Amino acid sequence: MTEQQLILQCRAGDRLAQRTLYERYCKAMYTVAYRITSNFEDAGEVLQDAFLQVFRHIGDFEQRSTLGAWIKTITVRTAISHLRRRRLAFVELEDKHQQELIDWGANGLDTDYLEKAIQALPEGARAIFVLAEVEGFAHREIAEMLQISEGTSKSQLHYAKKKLREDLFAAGIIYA
Amino acid sequence: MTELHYNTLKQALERLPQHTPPGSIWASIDQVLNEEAQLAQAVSALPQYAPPADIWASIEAQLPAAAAPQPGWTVWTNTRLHYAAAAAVLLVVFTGWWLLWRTNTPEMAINPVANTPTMNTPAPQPSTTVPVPVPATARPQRPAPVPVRNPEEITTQSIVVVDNALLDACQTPEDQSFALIEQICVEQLPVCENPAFKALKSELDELSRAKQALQQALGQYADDPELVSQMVEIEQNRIEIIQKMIQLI
Repeated sequence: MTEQQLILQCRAGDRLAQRTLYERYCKAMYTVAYRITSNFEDAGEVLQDAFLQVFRHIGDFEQRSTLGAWIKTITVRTAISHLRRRRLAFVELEDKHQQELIDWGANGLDTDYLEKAIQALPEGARAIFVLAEVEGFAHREIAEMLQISEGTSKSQLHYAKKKLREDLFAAGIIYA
Repeated sequence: MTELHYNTLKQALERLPQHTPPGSIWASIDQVLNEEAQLAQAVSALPQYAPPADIWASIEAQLPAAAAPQPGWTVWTNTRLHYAAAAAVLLVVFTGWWLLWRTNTPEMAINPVANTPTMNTPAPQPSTTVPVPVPATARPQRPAPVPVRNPEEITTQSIVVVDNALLDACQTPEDQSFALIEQICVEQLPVCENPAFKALKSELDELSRAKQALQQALGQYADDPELVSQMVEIEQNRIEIIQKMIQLI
C-alpha cells in the first residue's frame, strides 16, 4: 500500500489502514518519545496520544512534508507537552559555556553508554540535544516548539554536549 | 560552539538503537478510536425535536415587515390569481361591449337577407350552435331593436340554449362545503393556520369575487354563452379547491 493510499484510507476511518500506519511508524516515534522523556512508560503514553492526534487530524495533513515528518512533529510536540506537564526545567547557564572546546575523540563512541549518558542529561538539555542532534530540528523550530528563545536552545545544546563529554570521559569512553 | 571530531558523535548517534513499543499501546489506541466512533454515531443518531408552532409567530412578530419575504409559491399563486382576475374583468367588459354592439346593429346580425348593411363592419361569425327561428321581438330584456326593412319576413338568429338548472346551480349563494370552510375559519381552528390551507382559501376567495362579478354581468345578460361558460369554469375551479380544503381538514 502506497503512502497516498494509506492516507486516503486513514482519512476514511479505515481501521486496518490506521493499524498499518501505526505499525509503519510506531518504532521510530516510540524511540523519539523515549529519548525526550527518558522513560518508557511516559514514551508509551506519548505514543498513544500522538497517534490518536494523527488519526484525528490526518484530514488536515496538507502533504507539504512527508507523512513521517508530520507524524514525528506531532510526536515531538506531544512529548514536549508531556514534559511541560512535569514543569520542564532548563539549567541556568553562563555565557562562558559556549566558548569551551568539546572534543569527541577519534576512536568512536559506545552507543549503549551514549544512550545512558543521554538519558542522564537534565530534562530540558536532553530534549534539546535529542531534537537538534538526533532528530535534526533547527534551533528556530526547537525554540518554537519549546517556547524558548533560539539563544536558549543553542546554549542548552552546548551545555548538553559538554555534560555528555564529561560523562563519557568519566566512564573511560573518551580519553583526554 | 567549537567541536573536535564531531563525526564521532554523529556516527554514534546514528547507531543508537530503536525501541519497540509494547503491543498494549495499539490496543489502547484501538479502544479509544472505537469509543470515539461509537460516540460520533450515537450523537448523529440523536433525535430532532420540532419547536412549538407559536415560536415562528413570535419570531415573525419581531421582524421588520419588509424583511419578511414571502415564499416563492405564495408569490406565484398570488400573481396567477391577479392575472386571472384581470382576465376575467377584461372578458366581462369585452363581452358587455360586444353584446351592446350586437344589439345596436340588428340589420346585419339578424336579417341575413338584407343586402344593404348600414355599417361597414363585417358580419358576425356564424355560430356552431343550432340556429333556432325566433321573431325579432322575442327578447324583451334587451333594448328594442331597430325595425327591419321588411317586417313581414321571418328572420333567423344563432342563439345558445341555456341550461337553466346549471345556471341556477352556479347562482346558488354558497354550497354547504364552502359554508363549512367559512365556519371553520371563523372559529380559527388550527387547520386554517396551515400555509397550504391558507393558499387554497385565498384562491377560493379570489374565485368567489370573480364569480360575483360574473353573476352581476349575468344579471343583465343571463343567456350569454360566453358568460355562462366562464361561470361554469369558475364554479368547477371552486369545487376543486373546496375538495382540496376538505381533504386538508
